[in-house]
Amino acid sequence: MEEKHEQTEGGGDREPCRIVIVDDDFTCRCWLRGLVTNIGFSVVGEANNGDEGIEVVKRVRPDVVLLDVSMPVKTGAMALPEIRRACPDAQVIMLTSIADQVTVMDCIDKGASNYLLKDCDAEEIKSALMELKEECGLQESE
Amino acid sequence: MDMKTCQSLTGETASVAKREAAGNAVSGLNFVMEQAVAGVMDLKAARNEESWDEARISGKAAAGFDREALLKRTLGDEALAGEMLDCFVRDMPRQFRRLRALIAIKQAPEAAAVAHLIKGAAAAVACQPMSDQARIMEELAGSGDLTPLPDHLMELECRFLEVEEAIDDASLKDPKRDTDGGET
Repeated sequence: MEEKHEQTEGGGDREPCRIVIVDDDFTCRCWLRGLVTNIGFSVVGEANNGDEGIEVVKRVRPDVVLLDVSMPVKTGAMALPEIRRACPDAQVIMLTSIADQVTVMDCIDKGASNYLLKDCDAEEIKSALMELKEECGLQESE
Repeated sequence: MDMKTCQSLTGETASVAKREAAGNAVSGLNFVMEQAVAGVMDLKAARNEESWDEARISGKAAAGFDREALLKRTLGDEALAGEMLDCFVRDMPRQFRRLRALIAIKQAPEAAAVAHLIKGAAAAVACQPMSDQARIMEELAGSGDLTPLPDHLMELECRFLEVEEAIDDASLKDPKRDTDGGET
């Protein structure tokens, strides 16, 4: 997959923040891909379940992982610790329609950076991703 | 749309019938579908104390698809909205087939998972009535009660046909893509 490069203030090229989307829903993946690309991320991998997600993350080592909770084969909550081990620097955002406190706390305890609901305002998702994008930029410039 | 009409419009029958209808603008089936969709639209408009014309102009698509809400989800990106609808229309027939098969072999947890996926996908493209219908199915399957699911599935497919019509009217479907088949 060809990656886009952003122009920095100093005029140099900087790699855009690299993201992997893990969701079993074809339509949601399409939505997330469009949304994150529009705000300057580079989608470097996609996966259909937790197992595939772990493999993709190991291979491409992204900056950010968007991880659905409810998936076949291996759920997002089950895949999260392995993803964190495979790529400790990657920020993992859980994105789901499940809002129960136990699942949220479980994912946060396992190292998720944030937990967003799929039916929340798209601006909210954008803000959370923009914050991560800023962090990516800061890490690259350090 | 009554169940009898819906039954005749679901699955393979609907695909064949719709292709035939596309070739003949005044065919009986087309008329039936238009009347059925218009009926739902009138009902919705009446419920919202808003005429169908007003609903259409404001972009609040009837028949279970809300164009404005979808554009809000894409932050105003019409191309992305079209691409999402294309994904949705291509993927749903496959999900219905999976759900039907899982109900037939009485696999309640797996059926609940597919209903959950349909619920999320429908919500993603602002098809709230379809999402609500899928949520009911997810809850039923989650409780292990598969008996009423075939009827619910038929209603879900019915709503999907209405949504497809409304999407065509809303001029958001991605024109570059062929809608036959789903993700394999």
